[in-house]
Amino acid sequence: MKNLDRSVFYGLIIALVFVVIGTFFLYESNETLDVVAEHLGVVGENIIAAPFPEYTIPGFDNVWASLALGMISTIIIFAVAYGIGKLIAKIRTKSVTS
Amino acid sequence: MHIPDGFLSPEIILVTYVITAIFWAVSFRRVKFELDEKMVPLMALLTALFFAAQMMNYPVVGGTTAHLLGGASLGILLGPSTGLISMTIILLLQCLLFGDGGITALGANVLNMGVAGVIIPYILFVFIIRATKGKRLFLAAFVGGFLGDVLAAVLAGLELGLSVPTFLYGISISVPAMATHHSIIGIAEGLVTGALLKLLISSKPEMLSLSPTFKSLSLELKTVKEGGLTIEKS
Repeated sequence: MKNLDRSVFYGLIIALVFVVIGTFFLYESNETLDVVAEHLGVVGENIIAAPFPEYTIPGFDNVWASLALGMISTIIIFAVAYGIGKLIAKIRTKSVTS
Repeated sequence: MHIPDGFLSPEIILVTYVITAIFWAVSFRRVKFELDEKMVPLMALLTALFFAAQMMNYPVVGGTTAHLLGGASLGILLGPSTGLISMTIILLLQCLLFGDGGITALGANVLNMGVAGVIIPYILFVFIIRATKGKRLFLAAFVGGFLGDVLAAVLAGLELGLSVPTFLYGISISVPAMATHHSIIGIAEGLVTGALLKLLISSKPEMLSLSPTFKSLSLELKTVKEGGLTIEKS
């Protein structure tokens, strides 16, 4: 189990490296869907205003803020998935024992 | 590939939400058979890993970019139900926190990147592994990853094309445009999925031994045991 914990830790480091690469190098997003929509003048407007549109912090227009946001979000996603996973595993244990 | 609000017609929004809701319901019922306590850290790690991987945009053709989905890896490693839940967590948080994909299009986005992107690769992987008695692991992962991405793009093209006049142009334009561009990133997805599985077999077999897919395929995968894989009997 210790081996697995260590693997998960290293895996998270790799995820954070992905965030660094995505923030500094592979950040330009120009997806087919957006390009064609722009060409045809179709504007997509999200109904719910996101707190961090385009992976940026409003008012902090610099790359370091985006990097911090990306890293914190990755940790939050890990925590949310871990919490949901634990909950499902708990339900499974209950249904097996009952 | 994240569809924002305003691109889909009300009919397509309704149909995609209904279909996705059925898959969610089935997955939540089945997930307890896949996900045990020991697998939770792996599920959380892969969810975070592919959330981060989706932040990297690769140049494709004609100045456009695309990102890896990670759906094939999630489906194969975590099983289809857990994989779908993982992808749903990613898409929901991307939508709510970053405005990447709209809330009205969440059903469509989960259908494309979760159902087509996660479950189809899992089915193809299991089929090819069984057909080849575990001898074509990389091929099975590659085909799953490639076709999962392409099918997700084709579905997105269909949903947009069928949303005329909301999206202005039909499926004869939307489907080929989406499929062509995403088949290129699909090749990368296939290679990454295959390489990840090979890497885990050779260096982290303890992770694969937790995977419900690999547990269920233990008979066929005896042939890759030389690579260091030991399957726990469930």
